[in-house]
Amino acid sequence: MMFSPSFPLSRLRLAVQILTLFLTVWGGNLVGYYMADKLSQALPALSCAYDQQNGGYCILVSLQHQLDHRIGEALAKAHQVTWQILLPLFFTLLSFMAFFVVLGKAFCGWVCPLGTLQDWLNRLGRRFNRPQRELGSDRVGKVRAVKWLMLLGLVLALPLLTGLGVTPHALGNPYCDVCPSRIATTLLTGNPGELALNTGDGWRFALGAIANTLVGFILVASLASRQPFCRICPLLAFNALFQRLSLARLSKRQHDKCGQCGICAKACPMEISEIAREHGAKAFHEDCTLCGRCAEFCPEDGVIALKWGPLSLFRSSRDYYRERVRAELPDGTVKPVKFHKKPASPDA
Amino acid sequence: MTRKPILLLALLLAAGAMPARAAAPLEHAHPGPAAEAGAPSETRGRAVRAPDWTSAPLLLPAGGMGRGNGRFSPQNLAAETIEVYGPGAVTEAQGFPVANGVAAITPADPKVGNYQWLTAREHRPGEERLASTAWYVSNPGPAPTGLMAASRPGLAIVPRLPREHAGYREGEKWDFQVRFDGQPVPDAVLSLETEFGTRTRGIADANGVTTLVFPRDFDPAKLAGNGHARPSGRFVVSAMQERDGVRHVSAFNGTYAPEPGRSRDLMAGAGFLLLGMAAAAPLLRRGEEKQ
Repeated sequence: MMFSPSFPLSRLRLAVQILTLFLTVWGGNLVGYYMADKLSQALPALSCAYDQQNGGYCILVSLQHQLDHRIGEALAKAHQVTWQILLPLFFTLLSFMAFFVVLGKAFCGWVCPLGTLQDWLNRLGRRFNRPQRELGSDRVGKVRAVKWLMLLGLVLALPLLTGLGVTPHALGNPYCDVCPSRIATTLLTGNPGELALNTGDGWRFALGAIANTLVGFILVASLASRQPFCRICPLLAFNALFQRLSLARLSKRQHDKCGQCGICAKACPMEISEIAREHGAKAFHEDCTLCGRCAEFCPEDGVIALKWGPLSLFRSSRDYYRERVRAELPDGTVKPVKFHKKPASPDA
Repeated sequence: MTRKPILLLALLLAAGAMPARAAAPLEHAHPGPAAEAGAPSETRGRAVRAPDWTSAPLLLPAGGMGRGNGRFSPQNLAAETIEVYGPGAVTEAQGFPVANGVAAITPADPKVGNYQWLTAREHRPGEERLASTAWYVSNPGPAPTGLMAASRPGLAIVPRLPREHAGYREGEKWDFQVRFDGQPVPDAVLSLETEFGTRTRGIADANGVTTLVFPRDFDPAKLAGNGHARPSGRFVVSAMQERDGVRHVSAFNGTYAPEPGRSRDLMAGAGFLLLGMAAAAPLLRRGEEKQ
């Protein structure tokens, strides 16, 4: 195993996050925007179509478009439902699946630019001694349903209904219109255009206002809570649908002490309490982003592992855990930055 | 406490239900290529009218375009065929005859999408006229880098094409290169004309490249989008060269979109951003008991 207390998993994750943030936000400048188109086709779940400097597009925008402009319109004209119409949707999903088989839900925990931003903001909050707010087990269960509603309502149903002519044209792309990643990543490229609200259409104004309020809330809330948007992100739900098909996965074997210390659950930024109690397939929860923190903070040897196919990328170990908690507690608490008042000069 | 977000949501939904103002939507929710394929629905099912805003040779969409096939009409030149150059391995142009002023075309290689380069020529005594445009086919295909770098005979205007899902827009600067038999033409004069009446000119540098700014001249009447047809205006960039007693006229035409800022309010957007931040601010307070 390549990871050790001197080179922890979290450091590799940080390096990957930095690399992928540059690729997904400014990658188009690096590879040229024509090459970025190619990347979009190869890695369709990478980033935001509204950011003209990035190196790829997010799956959700093409999915909404296919449902609105291809499936919905074609269903409205039933005679046009042919394999030629369905084929683009199939290829959109197929290219996503090819990407997904390789990376799986590690996209959420290692690649997603909005996930990275929230992660870093939370670390900043911890450094400045802000509280770490948690939803608690009661509310976590309710919030988990929201991501499915977002997927069903905003990514699938509304674009389809718009294509059928039931809902206004402005609702053909509703998830992107409220997506905080669209605003956050374009702001990172120095483009405030996506922040501006469309005043020419009431629906677009309302959706834009929701998006802006949401991104403002997330940027500040991330300082005091872990991954606030990830919990309701439809891409997490979409990924969860296919997580068993991916080579990347979380593995946990049964151990006598599981459910007693609960440290792995405390380390989980998504508040997945099941990781402490369950094992086997149930431990790889629908909300898991494969960040690997549960494995890093499990104090037992070989109980939790990050795997890619037959390969074990990282396994929990007592020695690793001991070193890890010296730098950071499971809940993300780190030694805060302290500001000391300069002592008054004796001359004063 | 719980009523506030519900109230806010209700307000936003009420705003959403408001009828669109007369100023109307400026841009379609999804971007699209700005070359001629970007606005096919504008002419769908209608005959192409001869343009009264330019005398430069043009290739205009003639409606009836579907996925993987198109209809284009040469204007201001009498061309017998439209040549289609694809971005893939098929480098030779495919010629499509013009009948009744319109040519029905397909991509150079039916399996290869992305940008296709269209040209139409007219040979007159002492004059060569070339119209060109880029046609976007929304099927997978290679980037048009090689397509645009290819050397073609005569006077050619080679644009920098917008990225997929993007387009030319008011206020943006774009590079155009003038080439003759594939070689850059330094100091060439390029003219930009738009259907809204703007006429500007630029002089090419040593590499034959001119940077032109798309004017902010959109007709307010055309800003009102209609369903999927997002507002767009036509432009043409043209150049003329005299070589061996022959006058060469070449043009590239496409469409451009209004500046998004025309119907957007950045201050309102920033206001809602701050509203969201303010709503989350109480989370940052550390309670006394926690300390």
